Amino acid sequence: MTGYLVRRIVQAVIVVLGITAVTFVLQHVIPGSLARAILGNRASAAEVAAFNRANGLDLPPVEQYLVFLGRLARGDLGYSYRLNQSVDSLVIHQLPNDAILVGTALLLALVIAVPLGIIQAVHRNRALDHAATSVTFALYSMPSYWLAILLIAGLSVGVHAFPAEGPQASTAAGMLGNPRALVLPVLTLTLVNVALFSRYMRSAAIATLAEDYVRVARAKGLPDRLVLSRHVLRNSLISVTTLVGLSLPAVLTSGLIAEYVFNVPGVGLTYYTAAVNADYPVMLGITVLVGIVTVLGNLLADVAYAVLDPRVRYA
Amino acid sequence: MTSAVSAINRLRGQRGRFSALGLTITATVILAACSSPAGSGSGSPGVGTPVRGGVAYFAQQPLSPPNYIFPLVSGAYFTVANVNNLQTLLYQPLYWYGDRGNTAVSYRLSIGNPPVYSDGGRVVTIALKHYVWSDGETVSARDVGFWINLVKANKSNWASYVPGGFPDNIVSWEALGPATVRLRLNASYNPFWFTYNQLSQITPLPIAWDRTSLAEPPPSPTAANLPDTRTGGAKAVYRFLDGEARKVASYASSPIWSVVSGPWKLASLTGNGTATFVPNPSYSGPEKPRLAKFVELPFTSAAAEFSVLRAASASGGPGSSGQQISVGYVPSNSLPQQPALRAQGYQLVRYLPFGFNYLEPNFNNPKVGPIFRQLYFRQAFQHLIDQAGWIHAYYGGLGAPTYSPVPASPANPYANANASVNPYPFSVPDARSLLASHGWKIVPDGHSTCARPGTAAAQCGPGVKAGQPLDFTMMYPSGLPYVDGSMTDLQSVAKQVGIEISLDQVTSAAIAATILSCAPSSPACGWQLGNYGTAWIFAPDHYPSGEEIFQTGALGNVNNYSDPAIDKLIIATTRVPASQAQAALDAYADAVRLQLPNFWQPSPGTLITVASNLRGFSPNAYGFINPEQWYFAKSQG
Repeated sequence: MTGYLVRRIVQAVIVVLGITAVTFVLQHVIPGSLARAILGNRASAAEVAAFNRANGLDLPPVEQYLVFLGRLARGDLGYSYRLNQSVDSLVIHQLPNDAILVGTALLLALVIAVPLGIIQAVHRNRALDHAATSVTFALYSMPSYWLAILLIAGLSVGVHAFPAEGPQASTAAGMLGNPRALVLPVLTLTLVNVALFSRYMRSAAIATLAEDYVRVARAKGLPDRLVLSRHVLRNSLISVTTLVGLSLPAVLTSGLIAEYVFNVPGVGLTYYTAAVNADYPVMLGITVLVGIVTVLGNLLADVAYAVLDPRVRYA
Repeated sequence: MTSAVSAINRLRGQRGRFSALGLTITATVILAACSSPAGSGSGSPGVGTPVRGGVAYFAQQPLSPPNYIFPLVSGAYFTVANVNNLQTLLYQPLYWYGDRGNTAVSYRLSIGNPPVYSDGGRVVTIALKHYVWSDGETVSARDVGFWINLVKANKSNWASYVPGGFPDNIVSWEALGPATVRLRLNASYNPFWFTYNQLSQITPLPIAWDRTSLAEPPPSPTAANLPDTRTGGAKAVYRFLDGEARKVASYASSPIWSVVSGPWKLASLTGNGTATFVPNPSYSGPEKPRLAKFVELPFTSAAAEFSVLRAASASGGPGSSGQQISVGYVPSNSLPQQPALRAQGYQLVRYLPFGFNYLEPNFNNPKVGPIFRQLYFRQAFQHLIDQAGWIHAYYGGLGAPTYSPVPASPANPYANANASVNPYPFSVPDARSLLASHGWKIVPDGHSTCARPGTAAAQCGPGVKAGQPLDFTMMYPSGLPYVDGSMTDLQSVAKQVGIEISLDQVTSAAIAATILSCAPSSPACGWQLGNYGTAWIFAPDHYPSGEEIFQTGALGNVNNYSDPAIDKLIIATTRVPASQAQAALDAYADAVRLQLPNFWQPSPGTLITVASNLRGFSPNAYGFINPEQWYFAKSQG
């Protein structure tokens, strides 16, 4: 297991370095200059030169990259000239928002989707399965933006049951301190994810239910409840584990729509805005961060496979 | 997903200056305050019994929280959120412009008394009223000098710097006494122009800031040889203050930034951008805040702001709780919901800042520049722009047509009668006729081409080649429905005379980085037509002269327009004596409106929502805000 972990970690470091290099190069081949994007087209040449000098943008690209790597090694993701703060502080400030919104939604979605998928598998092609399939398809095909607007129109503007915006606190504790405001954004993200996870879970459970060991367990007289919890659930979770692993970076980025509609500043929206405004340091910093989290998510998924299925670690 | 542009809160979108006029000149050439009110928005009427206290909530533009507090601001932070919604609330400029939609200077709200011009417009003497800083020191002539010294030493870090303008045109400054400052200028200037375009750039700074580290004690205003009096020292002071301005989280507790002259003090600025202001008890101006607090709310999108408007209570004031937006805005794609907002109780205020709007043709583009240099072509193209139709169809009725660089709307004392007359009204036949009579073979819904190249009157004009088509690429920002609609209309109409316009939607940042002044041989000159999506607003210099946009080589003249005759007229607007100021402005405006250095298009307006019981709100002509004028009323309606 140790050798397996070491191999995967070395691979992960190489991938992250590759991500930084590719992102850095892309940043330099985008037409237009950072100074112009920030200062506007009326800035004088002297103003542009002063900006480039002050921010090390007059150095050769290789030197800029090495400076960037040096900073990265110290945990410095860069500085946003537009937002007048470091990318680190942006992420540190916004990550709790995302973790609470997207993390809660992911957890809730799993809590609902895993049993739902198994129930659908057990009752496949019956009325309950068809009803659940219809609902999940409808939710999955509905743009989350539209779903969010519908929820606001119905539950906020219509009956004033919940606020139209998410919690406006600056801290995680403050966010959690206003649970009513969390309802609509979390509900939006949960409903979309339930649809996704339950489909995977249903398919995996149907396949597992057809396995010999499940039939043997039943033939031996094991109650259905135990067959499902001990054999079907664990073996069906492998495919969902892949999804959850890949969803880890989504904690950083998939909240974009909820952040946009429900007025919750988060990393996803910051990244989008940085792309629109050519705020390259923020784009670069968050890309690297998402790259690291993606690699980490995959690494964790691989480890989880190894735990769930011992054949993986001996392969 | 970019939200709709709302003129009131965007300064990054303000490519130009801030403006006003209406001055009386005495025999000694004193500029005095007056001018006809120039309503750009009606505002909330001052009826109902005023109630002291209450918290007014102001909706910031999406993803535009204030993040730079130092008034000597560089281009990176030159935004409405920073200048209009933060700095001017705390650090009052020497003169205040645009109050209640009036384009003129308001001497009543200004620290400076009317400037006195002498020596043929080469000397300006300014007497200051008795204002005090929150640390107890008097706002003095030395504070004005501190600003001038800092700007002179740090011009490349100042967004408003224009070569040859302030402070290059200040030969020296002198404190004639604690409350009187005299500026010697390098030439004679039009007093109106100087007051509105140059003195508008001054913000007195407290001498408590004249140091290079927090470890140093605040200097005494009477101390000699302070750092700002030497260029190196002024640079060091700038570096220190800029460094302090990078610590956004500590603004409210900073010993530097807590010394204010304006009506408000910053109580907090949270990480998500919520800015809370409380009244400055030392404020010396005539309008003391009546609100207990003024809070600026951040939003991630216009859609989020509008959802809160719809879900929240439309009234506020002492004792009220829950979500509310006292002063907000209606996103352009939500304008049809006006009846619902009225039913909720909101007051709706239409707002149009003082400025004008245009499309940029690149005169130096090697391919199409020669076509744009032909006046007949510019006239024909202008005939294809249906300004009234666009306002009706795409601007939701919120806009004003542009016929002149000195626009008729909002009402102002500068515009002459011609500003209301469209010299090139929407007419496809007129456009076709102009092109055909200058040697173009018109192919409706096809590609019109130059059939008679040459320089004679009935030929295509110099530089235009035989068979050259009328094909252009237009860049414009994505995410603005009214821009998208109007550009699509222009594309469709132009097709009727065989002009092919390829539409290229890009981000605003891409436009800023692409639409640049350039030499014809430069690769940067590849752009052909551009549309910013936002209007040129006369800010932070408020006189509607054209030296920053139409003069040859001006920083704002990014489309490389050059006409010596226009240059002369522009220079005249800045240099003539006061008695000839309006005539010079008329001559400039009349020439430019016909010459079409760019193509006029409508200026977009904004619909502002005001809480049902908030009074005293009236939009400023240049987008400043004065929450010290606002108050809640007891009775609604």
